[in-house]
Amino acid sequence: MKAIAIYAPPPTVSSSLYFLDQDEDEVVNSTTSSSGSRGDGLGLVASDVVPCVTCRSLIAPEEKKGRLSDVMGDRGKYIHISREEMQEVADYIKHEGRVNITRLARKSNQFIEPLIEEDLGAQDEIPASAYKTSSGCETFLANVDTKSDVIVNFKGNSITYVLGHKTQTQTVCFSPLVSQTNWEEEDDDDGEAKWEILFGALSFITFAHFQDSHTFFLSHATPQFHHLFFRLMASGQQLSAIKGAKVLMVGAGGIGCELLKTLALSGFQDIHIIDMDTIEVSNLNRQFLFRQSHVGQSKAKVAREAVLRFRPQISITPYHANVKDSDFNVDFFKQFSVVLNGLDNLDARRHVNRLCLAADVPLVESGTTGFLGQVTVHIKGRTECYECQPKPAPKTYPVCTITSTPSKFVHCIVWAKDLLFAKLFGDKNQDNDLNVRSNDSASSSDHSEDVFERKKDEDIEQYAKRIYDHVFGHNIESALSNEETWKNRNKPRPIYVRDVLSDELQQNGNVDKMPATDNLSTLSAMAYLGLKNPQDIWSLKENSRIFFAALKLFFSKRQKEIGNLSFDKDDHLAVEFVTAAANIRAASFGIPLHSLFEAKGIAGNIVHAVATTNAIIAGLIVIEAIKVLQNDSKSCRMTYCLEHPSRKMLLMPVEPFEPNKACYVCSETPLLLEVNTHRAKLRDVVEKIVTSKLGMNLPLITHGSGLLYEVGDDLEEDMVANYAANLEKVLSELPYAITGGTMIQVEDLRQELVCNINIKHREEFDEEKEPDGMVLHGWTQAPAVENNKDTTTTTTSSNNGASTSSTSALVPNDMEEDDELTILETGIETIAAAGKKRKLSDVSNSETPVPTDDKRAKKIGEQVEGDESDVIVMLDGGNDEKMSR
Amino acid sequence: MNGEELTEQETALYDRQIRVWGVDAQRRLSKSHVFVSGLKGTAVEFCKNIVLAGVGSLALNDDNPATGEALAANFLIPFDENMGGGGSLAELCCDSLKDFNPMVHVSVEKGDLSNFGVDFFEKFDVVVISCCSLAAKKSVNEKCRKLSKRVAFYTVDCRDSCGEIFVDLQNYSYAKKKVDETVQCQLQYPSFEEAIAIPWRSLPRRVAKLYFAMRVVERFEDVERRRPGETSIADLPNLMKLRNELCLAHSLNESQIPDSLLERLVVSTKEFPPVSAVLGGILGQEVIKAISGKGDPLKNFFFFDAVDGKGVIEDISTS
Repeated sequence: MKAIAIYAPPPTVSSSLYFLDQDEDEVVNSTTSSSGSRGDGLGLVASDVVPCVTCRSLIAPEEKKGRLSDVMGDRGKYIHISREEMQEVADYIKHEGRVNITRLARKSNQFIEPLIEEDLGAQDEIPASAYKTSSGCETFLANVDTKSDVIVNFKGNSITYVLGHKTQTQTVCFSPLVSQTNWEEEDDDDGEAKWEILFGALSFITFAHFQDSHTFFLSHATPQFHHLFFRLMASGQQLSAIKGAKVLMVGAGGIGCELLKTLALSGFQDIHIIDMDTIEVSNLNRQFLFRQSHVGQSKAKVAREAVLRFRPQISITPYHANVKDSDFNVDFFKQFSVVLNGLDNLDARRHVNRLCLAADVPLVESGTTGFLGQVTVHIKGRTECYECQPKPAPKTYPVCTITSTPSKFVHCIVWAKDLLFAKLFGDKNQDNDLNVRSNDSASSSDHSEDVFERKKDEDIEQYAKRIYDHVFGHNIESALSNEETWKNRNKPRPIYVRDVLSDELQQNGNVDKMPATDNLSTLSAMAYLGLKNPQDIWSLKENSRIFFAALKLFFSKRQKEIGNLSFDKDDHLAVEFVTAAANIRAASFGIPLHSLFEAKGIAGNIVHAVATTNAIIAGLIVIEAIKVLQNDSKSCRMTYCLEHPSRKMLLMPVEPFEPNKACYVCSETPLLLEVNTHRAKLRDVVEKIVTSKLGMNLPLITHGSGLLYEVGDDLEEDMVANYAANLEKVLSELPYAITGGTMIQVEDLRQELVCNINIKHREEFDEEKEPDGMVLHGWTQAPAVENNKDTTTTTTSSNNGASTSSTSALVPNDMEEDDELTILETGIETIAAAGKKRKLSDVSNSETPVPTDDKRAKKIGEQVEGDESDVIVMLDGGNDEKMSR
Repeated sequence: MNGEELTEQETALYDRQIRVWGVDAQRRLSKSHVFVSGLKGTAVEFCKNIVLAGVGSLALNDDNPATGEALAANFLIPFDENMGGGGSLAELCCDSLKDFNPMVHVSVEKGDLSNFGVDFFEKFDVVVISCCSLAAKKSVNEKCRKLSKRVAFYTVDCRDSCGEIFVDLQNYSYAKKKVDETVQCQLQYPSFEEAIAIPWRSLPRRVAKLYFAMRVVERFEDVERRRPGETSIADLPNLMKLRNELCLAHSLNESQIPDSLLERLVVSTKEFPPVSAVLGGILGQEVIKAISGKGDPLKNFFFFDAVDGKGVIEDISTS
């Protein structure tokens, strides 16, 4: 037999919980009499403290009938529900399986004929103690303050109540969702009372079912108890938010491993994880889900297996793939409640940001380097998106610094990596500035074109020597001839083989003596030469020997790869070669030499990474994710993990910023184009949409990383031909197929306007009403380009995988020197240790007045990059130290 | 460079972190011996962090059987072993941790923490205790202090979404990098007993409320002879009474210890996994700093509350 009471306050009432709000006076009285002023102490305001007041006279008759079913609604109105009506509600819940409480409350009105009896006001008040109904019933709801005979202890999702010396524990479902199993009778296996409490934010239902008795519990709750109910409701919501969430993790590296573990421990049930990387030895110091035996395997897959070992009951779906793959389109993103980024590169981060915006899925973004880290929350329309603030461009060096006048070791590294290594082992057709070093005589330039080619039948030995002498000797010498260059600089010293190695080369350099090895990945010039410690700084002589050994190993053992190699920090031989070459060049220019360990860090842009920071950041991500899932975006914070405390804080929360209105990524809602992707040609889209509707003169159309169309003066001939061909192709047959669910980007560089267009495939169009044969939604008129000083232009040219970002001058507003600002600044400076400090007042471009205390000085930019595969700003090729002319 | 060099294996494995703290620190780490007692979620997070970092050895102490709740926040124990039972928490965690980093010697120290004598702690450079009574904190701290060598002492506790770390490095000197030079710094830490004996009113203004709240709960459990975390909502009235008494004695406004905060601490004593991850990370970092002698160590309390998201350092000492 069921005994049910439903309290259904009007859905319009805010999140306050009403037990039963019958009489304002009573409320005040009972609050005072039962617990003095404690309500205040609990941090509740009077309106929150609405104690449970009910009428014995209302309940008693129902009790006598052996059941009780009441609805209290509309601030104390008593509504009787028939058993049949109640059954309808129960059936509905059963049928739905899971039903949102708000929906249920709304639906209930269909089932229940409200019979409002005005006269049944407050007549009798239940004493402020546990309310016991009939005998044999062990009711609960203790009043903790008045020494009732029942002590209730809520713990997690179980309730223990002590009655005399008897302790009973029951599992409760605190959830706005009613799960079907909880309504099943057979769940009641121990024959004890079973009950559930279901909460919703707007209304709540108390459902009580005691197996062999007809009881209903309803107590005059004290503020403490009332407060507890608030908490229970909160934790119930939290629990259900976690359990019901479908989470996408991007990245299974340093942060990813920690995140997956913490998500699993926190109760998340459905986690999807994308990572294209495989496991490497240098990951093992922090990516703790991986072992030595996993090296070479998919991170996403191994991480899944490792977590399932301690949480086998949850669902983890791994994708060993690039998040930029077309499979992961807007529709894919839409299925998730939240996306959590543990990425390592700007490109992928931006991609995910855009997809999250397009799919309207909240994004929690993160990054760490060394002891520094940050977590930010991006909710479309409420907080700034990942790209609302310009990201610092990858560090660039003038070409002449690299080719002619290096002054720092990093210049030598860039030279060795991007010029020499690329010239010798990379694509021969690629432009290379190796010989553009000075106003050299034409003859020498012409001549040098052939220097790097190994002549037919040329001995490796001879070839290596020739290269060495050319780049470290001859080139320096010809550079020296340009005296203008060296007026205010230290002159470099040409280095020739004969100076350094004399005749030693002849004895050691025989490739035939090199140990035969099947495993090309373990080839090492160091090992061959008996040098062991990568921390040691080699002498010029040692560097030269490494140079020769590495070069010869490449040409003898890895000949097949020559012409296709690009520098990879995990290619040991490549690192050895680059280290040696950089050091020899450094020696020539009087720059201090560095160890292989250091050189590798510079060449590979290796981000410092430790497990502890990743663990902290992962914890913070989960905390933010839970807030997002509970729709509590007001509580969301950007959190910075600092190395040195700022205002006593090591973990510093900052309120998220509002969206930047000038942000080209999030300021405009992406457009939607309905089009028949099997029939419409690119030309149709360009002419009917891009040119006429969006008013673009120089459109650039890209899909994912692929460039489909471009208009401009300085295009190469072959590109023009390519684009012309594309124009005549049907959308779905383009090199980067445009199909339903994909998103294309249309930008006009001159107007600094970028539009994202989601594509929806539609078979038929009305010839009269839709003469274009396609329909663009969300478009009204050509959007004016906001002339804002913070506007950023980012150009991405996809042909060489490099991107250059140019940021127009950021004009910092005069900042007020108040306490808040000063301290924030300290923190930011700390975190910005490696990056550029950005001064940007969001007050300046916010049209709504910002309250003083909310004034935040600046925005912390992208100083902190992710740890993942250890590349700080990894562009496609991993060459982020590009040269600019 | 002193002492042996790192092996090739170590250099490859620790590459990324050596870039953070240097070879010297890594070498010191690999020679350090750490003791951890009380293996709930937060301590387990810490253990993971320092095993990955590559300490020399780690000794685990927790004789409790691996049962339901203990496993809830423990990612070290594979699921199938949940069922069969057998083995203490320390034993089960030990097996997994060994697997994390074969270069770290992980072992189990059986027995009750309170029975370990002064000599026992001499084996270690770092002692971390978690979920311990007030008496245990005081006594282990004192034992560490009686030794001639310096043993770094830490406590870590997580209740609901709040956490506290206490640090006692006694007399500690370390190298601090200023702009161009490295200066030697000296810090003087009070013991746990000394720190908590400092009258509240003489503490700096705006000390984290969590500090006071934790002291009330700690005292309550001590007086009532409860095991750490053995509290419920039913204790709230008595706890508030104790709070009022303590506030009166210390001339502190009761509002410094809000009811709601006390309530959170007694009602849900389960460790919230994301908070455990944060605390375990901070503690790991501190222990690494202390061992390597590099970087400003935390002095001497750290508090984290997921509700406001702040991770705050408080210096509770007489100096």
